Amino acid sequence: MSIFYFTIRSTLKDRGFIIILFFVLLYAFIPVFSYFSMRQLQEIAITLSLSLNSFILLLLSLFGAISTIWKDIEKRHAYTILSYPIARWNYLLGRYLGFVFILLIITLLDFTLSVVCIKICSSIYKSELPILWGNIFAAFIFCFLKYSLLLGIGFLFACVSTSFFTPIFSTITIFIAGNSIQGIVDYITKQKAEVSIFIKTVVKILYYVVPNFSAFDLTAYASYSLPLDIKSIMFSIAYFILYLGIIITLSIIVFSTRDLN
Amino acid sequence: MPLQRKKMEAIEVTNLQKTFKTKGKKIKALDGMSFAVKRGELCGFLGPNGAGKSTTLKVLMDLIKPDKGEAKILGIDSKNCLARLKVGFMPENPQYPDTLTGYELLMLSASIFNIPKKQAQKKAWDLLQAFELKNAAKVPIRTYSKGMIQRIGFASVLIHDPELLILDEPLSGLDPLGRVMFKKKMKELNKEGKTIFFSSHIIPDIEDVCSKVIIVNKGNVVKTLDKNQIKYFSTVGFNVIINSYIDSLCPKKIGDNLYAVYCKKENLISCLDVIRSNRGEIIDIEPVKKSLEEVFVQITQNFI
Ligand SMILES: Nc1ncnc2c1ncn2[C@@H]1O[C@H](COP(=O)(O)OP(=O)(O)O)[C@@H](O)[C@H]1O
Ligand SMILES: [Mg+2]
Repeated sequence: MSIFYFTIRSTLKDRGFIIILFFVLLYAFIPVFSYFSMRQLQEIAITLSLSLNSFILLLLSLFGAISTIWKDIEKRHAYTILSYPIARWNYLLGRYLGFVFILLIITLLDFTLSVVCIKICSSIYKSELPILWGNIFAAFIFCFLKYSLLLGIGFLFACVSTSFFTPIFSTITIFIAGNSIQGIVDYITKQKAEVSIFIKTVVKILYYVVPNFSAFDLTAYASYSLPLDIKSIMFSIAYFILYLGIIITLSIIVFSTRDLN
Repeated sequence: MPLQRKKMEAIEVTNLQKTFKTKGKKIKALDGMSFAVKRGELCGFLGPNGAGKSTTLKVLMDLIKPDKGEAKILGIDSKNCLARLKVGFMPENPQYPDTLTGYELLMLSASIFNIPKKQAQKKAWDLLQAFELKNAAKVPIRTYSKGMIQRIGFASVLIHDPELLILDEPLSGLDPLGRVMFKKKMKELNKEGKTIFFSSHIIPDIEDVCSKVIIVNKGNVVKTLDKNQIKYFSTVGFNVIINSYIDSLCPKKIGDNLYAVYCKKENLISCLDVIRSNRGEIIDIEPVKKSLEEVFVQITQNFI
């Protein structure tokens, strides 16, 4: 519990975090940008708000594992923190949940700013679509879930490796793969005969190993006010819990057995 | 009966083995390290750089996993985090998160040990006072000098009133005044009943304060000395400072009317006799210590 609070407090004071936080100011430009599109102001404002939130959370989740686990080991803060009567799993979980809390706070902040932007834009040019605030909020929360998962993956890599670049680049790789895997699978299944069995198997394995991030993308539902499918939402949540559980368990196992030099 | 005897041990280390592998090279850091520290002792852990002292202490704190062997602190296996409940550990050249101030570090420690806030605040200010850090309390630790970091580190391991202190090279990098302060503090805490186990590679640091010294080299214990053996074990001779030139002693001139006579430990009395018969006046007698290297040579030849 103390590690949880400590993580939140020290992240809020961290220079890297504060720099990333400046991107929040870009919300002020969303009404301006949307204005140039003349029509579809509301739809564009919603999409841009979600994209900006996604971008900020991406930076934060790449930063998260570095500013906690990697830094603790590299700068030998771990000697102090882990010489307290705190088990390794407890430390790791505290660090992870503390940073997830930061992601949540930022998501809510972004959501609040988005509400303002969207209201402004929709008042300039009335869209025939209604604004479904529930959908927009759900899209923000799913974005948060997606990056909590990515943060977990970053933690796993930081537990395995001692270098600075491995966790960052591996996480970026997984991020790109996770965003495109659904598209690749869809493409291959449409092609039918022309794709070799080998490639099909590789893609199939990747489909199960790599997190399927497109399942967390509700942008279309939010900006075009489509009805949400409860069943697929529930499925995505179950997928999130299962995947995250495995990632965190693996991280704890790796971290608990490693030497801290 | 064996159970009761076990309870007396603050630290128990049995046959630790550890080999580091870096870039294909293997370094055997611990090679069958075994020893025990009893409750109430102020025990020194002496050995040259690379002897495996830090590695042993890290195994004790479960920061490094040994290949073989086991370590117990206060009767509990060190792999269990509860073993550290009444322990304070200060690593070699401690580093603290750079956003923390000295006061915040103490409060962080206190919160981890579930000390009530009011009580923690009082204790923190007491410690800041005792370690002369009151003025720097609200300043980030990253701006502290080496000596100040060492002092805040020491203070932070005392906030939960531990039974056992494990300190890795606590005196290294301190100025002479800081060394005196740290040694005094260690003696005081030991008098209050705390067990202290600290490492060093410098003989004078250890022999002034310790009630026991464990000497290690190459990942293994080479000798354990008790209080009486420590006192003079490293003294090889004396520099007797006199205020007049005495021919038969061939003294070295070291100042205006100051001459130094070196004599071996066993020749001191006859040397003093010569001075007395020549009516010389003794200004000072200072012991001349062996270097750690000489001590090791003598240990291996069973001289100590
Ligand atoms: N993380 C590590 N990786 C590789 N070698 C190490 C590591 N830590 C210590 N060593 C080696 O183990 C030996 C013992 O080191 P250490 O326990 O730090 O000695 P001491 O504290 O007595 O100076 C040294 O030869 C050191 O180079
Ligand atoms: Mg050392």
